[in-house]
Amino acid sequence: MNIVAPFIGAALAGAGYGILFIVSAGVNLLAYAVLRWGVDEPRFARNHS
Amino acid sequence: MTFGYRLNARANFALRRLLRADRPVADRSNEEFAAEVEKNYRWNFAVNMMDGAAFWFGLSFISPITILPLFISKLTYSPLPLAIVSAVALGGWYLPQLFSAPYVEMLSHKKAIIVNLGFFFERLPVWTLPLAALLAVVSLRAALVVFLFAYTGLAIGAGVVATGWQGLIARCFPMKKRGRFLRIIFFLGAGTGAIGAIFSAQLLETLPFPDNFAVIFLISAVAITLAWVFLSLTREPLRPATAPRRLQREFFAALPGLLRQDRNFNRFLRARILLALGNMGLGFLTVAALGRWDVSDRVVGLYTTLLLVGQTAGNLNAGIMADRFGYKFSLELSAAAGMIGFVISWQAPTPEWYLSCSRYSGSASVAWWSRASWSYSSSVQPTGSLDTWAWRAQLPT
Repeated sequence: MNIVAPFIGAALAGAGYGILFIVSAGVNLLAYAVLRWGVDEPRFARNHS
Repeated sequence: MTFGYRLNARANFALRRLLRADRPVADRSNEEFAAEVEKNYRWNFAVNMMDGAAFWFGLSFISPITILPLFISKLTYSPLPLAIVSAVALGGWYLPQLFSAPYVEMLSHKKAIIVNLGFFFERLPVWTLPLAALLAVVSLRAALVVFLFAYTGLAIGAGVVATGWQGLIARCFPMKKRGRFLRIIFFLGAGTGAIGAIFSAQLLETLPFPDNFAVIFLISAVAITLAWVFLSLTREPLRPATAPRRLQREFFAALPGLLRQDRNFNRFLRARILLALGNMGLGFLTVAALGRWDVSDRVVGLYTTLLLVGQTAGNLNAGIMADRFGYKFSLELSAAAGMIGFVISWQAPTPEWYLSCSRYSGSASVAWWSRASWSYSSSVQPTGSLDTWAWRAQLPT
């Protein structure tokens, strides 16, 4: 995804930097939600230690 | 015997020599190994700290978020090279590790990977960057092509030897002391990087294009090579590699089962994918500022300073927060900081706003994410082994 993301960014930049930045902000917000309410740290560490 | 076969055999022989793959390593007990680690701890701490300081100083002159987009903007109006540099800067570090990790785990001499192989794959390509800048006098297109090839080589080379460096650090610094070492090295590195960025801002303003870029790329090459010298002074505590050979297809075959079996880990990987996707605008921040306000080259140089100041603060905060509230909390802060940074970049009324707030938030986002991910991954590999399925599953995201 690190490789694909900048090319999606380039495509969105073609439509305008404002759109690119607000979409980036939205994706970060989504990442926050998944981490905050979807991932449980102690259980993750226990299963993979 | 065909020419192709002989060439392949010679290349294989040269690679094995570089990696010291045929040099035997004496087996030793855990106590003997721990005693050697302890004996060389101060020395290794000092040389690796100097390596980090010189390396980050050098990297600040070729920042893929500020300096390189500015350089590209002088060569072309197309956003595609910006996307390539951004993709290579992020993906070049992670993706090669996915394929190199099982081979690295089978090698006893970790230092040989980062020092011998790294010299050709990671350090030499940096010296091509000043040449690419000077080529701009003759042809902008040729300069861009040489620059993109050189930077891609440098980033992928760094990714190829990255697992070797992580293995070396895991051997030299026991788990309990590793966190402290990484905290200091990131802090010191970002500090020297900030000094380098102030210097690069002055050079960008005082020298004409493309001499200014040729000089700052040359300084970067000298610093990164100096870092290699410090790294080569590391006294690696040796022990034979005992990892069995595991095929790539075994890993890919095991991946769906791993993700089905552990839904929590599955969601963690999804969050990592979203965090990576959330960085899609990072490589375009500088060009957007140039387009909106036509900011000077010196201001772009100052962006790097603020970026590194943000990283320094971010790394320190991430460590403190992670110790107190857990690594997941650091990742959550990373996502929140990234969101705030991009909202400010979108709505910034003046370059000053854009400069201070978005840079700080964006850089803090990168710093928190990278540091928290490292620590989070370390927490699932307490023995310092690099090739757990879980660790490798994170690399493609």
